[in-house]
Amino acid sequence: MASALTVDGVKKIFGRNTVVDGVSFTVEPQEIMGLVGPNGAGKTTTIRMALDIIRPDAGSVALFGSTPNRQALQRVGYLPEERGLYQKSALSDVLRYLGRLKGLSAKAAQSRSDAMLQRVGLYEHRAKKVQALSRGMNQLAQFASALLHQPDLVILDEPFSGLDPLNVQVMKEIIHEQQQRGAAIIFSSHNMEDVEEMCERVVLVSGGNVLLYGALDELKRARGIQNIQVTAPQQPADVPGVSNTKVEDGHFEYLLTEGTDPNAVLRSFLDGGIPVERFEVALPSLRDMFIEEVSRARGA
Amino acid sequence: MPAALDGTRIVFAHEFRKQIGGKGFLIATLTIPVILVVLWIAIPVIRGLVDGDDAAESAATIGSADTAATTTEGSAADLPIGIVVQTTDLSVDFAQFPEFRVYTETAAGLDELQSGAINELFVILPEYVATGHVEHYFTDDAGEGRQQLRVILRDTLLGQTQSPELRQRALARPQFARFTVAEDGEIAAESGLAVAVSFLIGQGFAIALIFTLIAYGTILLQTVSEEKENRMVEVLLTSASPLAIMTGKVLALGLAGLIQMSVWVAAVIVVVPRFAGVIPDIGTIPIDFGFLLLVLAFYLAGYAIAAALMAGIGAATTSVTEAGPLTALVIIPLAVPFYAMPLFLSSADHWLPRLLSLLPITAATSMMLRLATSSVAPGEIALSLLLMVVTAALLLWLASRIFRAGLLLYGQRMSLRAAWTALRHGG
Repeated sequence: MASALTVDGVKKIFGRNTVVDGVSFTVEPQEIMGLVGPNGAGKTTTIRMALDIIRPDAGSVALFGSTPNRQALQRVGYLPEERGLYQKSALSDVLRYLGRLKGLSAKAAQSRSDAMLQRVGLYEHRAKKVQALSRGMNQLAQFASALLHQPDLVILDEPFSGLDPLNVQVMKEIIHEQQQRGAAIIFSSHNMEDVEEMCERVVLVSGGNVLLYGALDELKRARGIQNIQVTAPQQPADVPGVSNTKVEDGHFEYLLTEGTDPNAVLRSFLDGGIPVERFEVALPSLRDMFIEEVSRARGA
Repeated sequence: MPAALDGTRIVFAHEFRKQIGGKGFLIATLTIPVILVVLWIAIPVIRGLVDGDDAAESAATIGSADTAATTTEGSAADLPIGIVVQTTDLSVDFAQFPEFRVYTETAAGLDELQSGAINELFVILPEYVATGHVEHYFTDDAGEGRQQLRVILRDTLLGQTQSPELRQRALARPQFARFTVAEDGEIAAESGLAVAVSFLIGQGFAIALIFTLIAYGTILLQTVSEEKENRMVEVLLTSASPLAIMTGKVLALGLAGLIQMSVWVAAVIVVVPRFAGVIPDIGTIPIDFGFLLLVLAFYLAGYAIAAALMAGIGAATTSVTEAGPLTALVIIPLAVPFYAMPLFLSSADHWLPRLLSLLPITAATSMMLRLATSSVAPGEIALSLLLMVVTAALLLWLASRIFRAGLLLYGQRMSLRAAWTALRHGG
């Protein structure tokens, strides 16, 4: 089966500014891919090139194995970061229209619209004008509109921004339902915890370049163990191979220098006759990797 | 159906429904018919007064020759009115009315008209009962004979109540076809009225075009600008091509405008004949349907150009407020021919009217006025239409490019440089 999306060395230059510089990644069916990066990293431009809204200056994009064309784009559901709906129209009318534009028959657009509004809890509001809905409701409605036609590729750019935790939970459940249905999902967010929770693979973009790309677990393991957490009444006078220490109420967190064996830290506690209640070797978080990689790239 | 056409169809249906479903459209569309209907309801009162006069007149006419003579006394023309009755369905003896002089042949009547023995000549055609057709010949100015003839025909037909057909004809009015008879005997359909009607149609369409543009062009501009403002554009662009979106919008609003105009025109056509006492012989006004079709073609082509320009302005600006004043750039050129109206009336083939009717942005109104006031060479008409159609297509394509590029300029004012950069990058 062809990848849902293949981005191969795409480049985009606006004036003298290289916004995207040779970005490559693929998104496979039934996976959730995290697209992360700082503001102005080139994420949205990359998404727009993937959707044929703007054309790359170099490189190529393949949607479902072919160049993005109208037919392929009909299989994509997109929730952009800059979003809105027709404010003066009834909610169900807007959804039905967007469903029709995605190739649904009038009947199917109506029934899917009803079903999605029920799923996101907005069915009772279907006859209301969009401008009468709260911001969160607006966002849920737009999320629903992106999924109406049961797309094979769903691109969600900051889907949770401004939502309360309950609605975030509803959205997360629906995203997983879409994944189970077989859809490939691109999840772009600045909230690294959400990305870590939702995604199997990530691509980290900064300054138009890919800094990290691959399975999240593998990326973490590849970086090695950097973080040790210990719960003990006190710490030894000398802990070997530690670059940074955080102390809080009998909890000690150590950032290891490269090549340090975590057991050396445990040994230093035991040799000092300090009883250890808890000793945990932690993989680096996506947030840690993000900060480290982006800082390094900017420093370079 | 190809995806692009399907996209156009869906956008068209959505925009059209949205437009005609609004209260504003309904109110604006029904305003003129309602005004006319109100007048229509008021007409029986007016007609009652008028018919009262007619009844008195007809009673006098039929009652006795002496009294009938009294009714015509003091009329503008003291000369008799010639009459030729070709239909056999009427049993009326015009000889009993002294103001009428009866002829058996049209030619004889025309000779008398030319010699000045009679003021005007009416020929009641053989198919009169079915069609109401009556030919009306006169030399300089038509006299008052039509009103007298109407009364006689109505009362005669109403007297023949055994025939529903005749009764129906009595209640309807005669349809006068008017002819002027020159000194040399040459007969011509009344040209002054035809020209006046043509001019009114041309000018009416030109004004309608400007009105439609102000109303629907502004709405079009608003819908495009609104999609940028409310950030719908990005989702739309992944669902349909920008050209399909623009074409759908232009067609939908154009059709909505056309429907509104049609309702108004239909209301006028249906109701205005009820005002026949005010506008006599409304049914006999000569309309050149070839001319009407040409004017309609220029109206549609003019709308397409201006609508594409309006859509482009909407796509290029960041908000409805910013776009509003720029509509003048489209409307002013369309109004230019009105500023040069004296020239169009006196010399429609002058180089300036000809130039204006070839410039796509001014061509629609210019050509409508020229067609109404003079005969324009078919080649010139074809060239003007061709230039307009090509320009409209190009402008629509350009507007769709700007629409796509516009999302690269969220929150920025569209300078020419920014627009050019966005156009280059916008796919």
